[in-house]
Amino acid sequence: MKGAGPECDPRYLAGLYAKSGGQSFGLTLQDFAEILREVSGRYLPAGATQAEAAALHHSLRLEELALARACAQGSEPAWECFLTRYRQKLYGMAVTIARDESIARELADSLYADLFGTRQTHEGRRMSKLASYTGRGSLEGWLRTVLAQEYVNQYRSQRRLVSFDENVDTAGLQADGASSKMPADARLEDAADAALMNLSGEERLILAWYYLDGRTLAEIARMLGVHESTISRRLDSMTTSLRKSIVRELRKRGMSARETEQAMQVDVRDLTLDVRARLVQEKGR
Amino acid sequence: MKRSTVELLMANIPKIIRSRLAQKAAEKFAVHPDPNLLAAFGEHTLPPREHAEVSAHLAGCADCREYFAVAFATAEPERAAVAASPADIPRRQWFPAWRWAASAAAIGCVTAALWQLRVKQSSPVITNPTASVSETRSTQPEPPPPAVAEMKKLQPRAFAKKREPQLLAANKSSARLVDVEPAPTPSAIAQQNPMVALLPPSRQAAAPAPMVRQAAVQDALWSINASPDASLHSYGEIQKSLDGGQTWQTVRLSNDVSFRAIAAVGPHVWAGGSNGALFQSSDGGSHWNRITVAEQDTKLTGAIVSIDAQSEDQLKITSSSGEKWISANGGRDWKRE
Repeated sequence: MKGAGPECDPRYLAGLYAKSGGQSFGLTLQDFAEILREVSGRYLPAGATQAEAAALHHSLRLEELALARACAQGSEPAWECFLTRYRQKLYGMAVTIARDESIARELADSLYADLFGTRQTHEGRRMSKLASYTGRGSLEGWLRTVLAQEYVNQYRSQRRLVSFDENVDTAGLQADGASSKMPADARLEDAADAALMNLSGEERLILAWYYLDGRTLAEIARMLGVHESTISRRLDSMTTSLRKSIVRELRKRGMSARETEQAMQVDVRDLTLDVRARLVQEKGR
Repeated sequence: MKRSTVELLMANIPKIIRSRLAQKAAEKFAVHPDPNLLAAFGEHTLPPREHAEVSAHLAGCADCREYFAVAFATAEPERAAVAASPADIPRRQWFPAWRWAASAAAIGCVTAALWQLRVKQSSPVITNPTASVSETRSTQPEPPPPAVAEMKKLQPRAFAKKREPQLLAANKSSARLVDVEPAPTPSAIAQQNPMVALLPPSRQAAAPAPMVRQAAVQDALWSINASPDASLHSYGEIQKSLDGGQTWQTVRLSNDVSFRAIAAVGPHVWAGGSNGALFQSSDGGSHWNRITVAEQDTKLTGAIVSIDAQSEDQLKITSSSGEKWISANGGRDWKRE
């Protein structure tokens, strides 16, 4: 937790509470104030101003936050509302994610159990996953993300159970790949580091999606909420500027124009630039 | 360096990245953005500072990228439903519709002008205008002015009122599919979705109607999970009501099928669901047959999510994998569209 956030004016708090509609789900003003304090503490830095806190509060999905937290507290009207609004959607999302009817049903049922809360605290209260919803995005988006995490985790746990033959084959392929690898020129690696450092987080993300994960332009565009042609243009300009940057950095490191061109050609033929490691390093810096 | 060489070099860089990816394990982060932040990032509602932080994290964290992509790379249809109230709808969403409307109007005006010109040029000399007009009207119906026809053709989807086929009231002896304007009053929604009736009146209007259509036939209403109990199930059950939706009886056809769609025309009822299962009854639901939707070596894949019965012979079904199949003989033979 970063901090508890500044104390709210009671009238301001009452306004937010009324906007949330929490009263109809049996959520008290005190409950609501506590929830806001927790959310503020999670996202606001220590010593945040009233203006920063207000900006955060106004960006929250207050009504959905109140609904989710009331469900977590076991409010019957809240559960009725939740089921009416999200039961069908949740199942539809699970089908979209899993692309298999039976897996989707398992996935949705499993999440339902977590949302309802199958475990209990020492005081005997149900521990509902809905208590971790903070209203930053929509409740539907949050459910989708949680479903996706659940699905990926399940899929990964199944993927680990591969047969011995498959393991041997994979190991063979990896060995072949390793043997064909040549050591990278340190100067080229440094130059690539420097070039990537000049990109913004979103630009590196687009590169990672496109080149590391093999996502299509349409998928990236959908995820970033822009048109496909925008991603295409940005990729074009990024790859061009990346290369120019690398060339510039190599020249800075004392390479002649001819050596630089040779290094780039060698890079294309043989070298392996660990872009992922560099993207990770960027985050760490 | 020539531009062509640059392009060649850049085109090859991704190969290097991919080969390196296969050999390097992803580094692990100690802290990851929670699903709340990822959801807000996916909905583009994060402030710039947090947007940059989450972007930078995703760029370096393959695990989070995978979670996020699974959730949002194919999320368009449901994501559109997030903006439930008009206030939530961004201005840019309605702009493209008006953009097309402006184009349509312009084309319509030009076509109307051309039509007027053509009529003036080609009109014969009428000695008895009244007789000529009445003769024309009696032989064939008056076609709409081309400008209007053009406008209708060019009218964007956003402008066309959504006209879902609905079924006539349950007391009709033989129900048929007709186009009627939906009137989403709270009582109507409550009738379609009994769970809504449990909500306070002030919230009933905001509650969504169920996605599954009800089918009425010979005093019977058919639906999927219409009763309050069944609406809590994550699997779909066929339900039938003989009292206009007051009470519902579950019709059990198969234990391993989750039903998603149902349609009826007269005594003919079709119900479809998971694993491409389609059931048909010709006697108002007393007896059912399972139908295989296939064409030569090709079988329907996915779950049946909608059934459109134009008549007792003309059927069209859609699967969760996006396939559309049609039958012209009540489901005996199928053709993939």
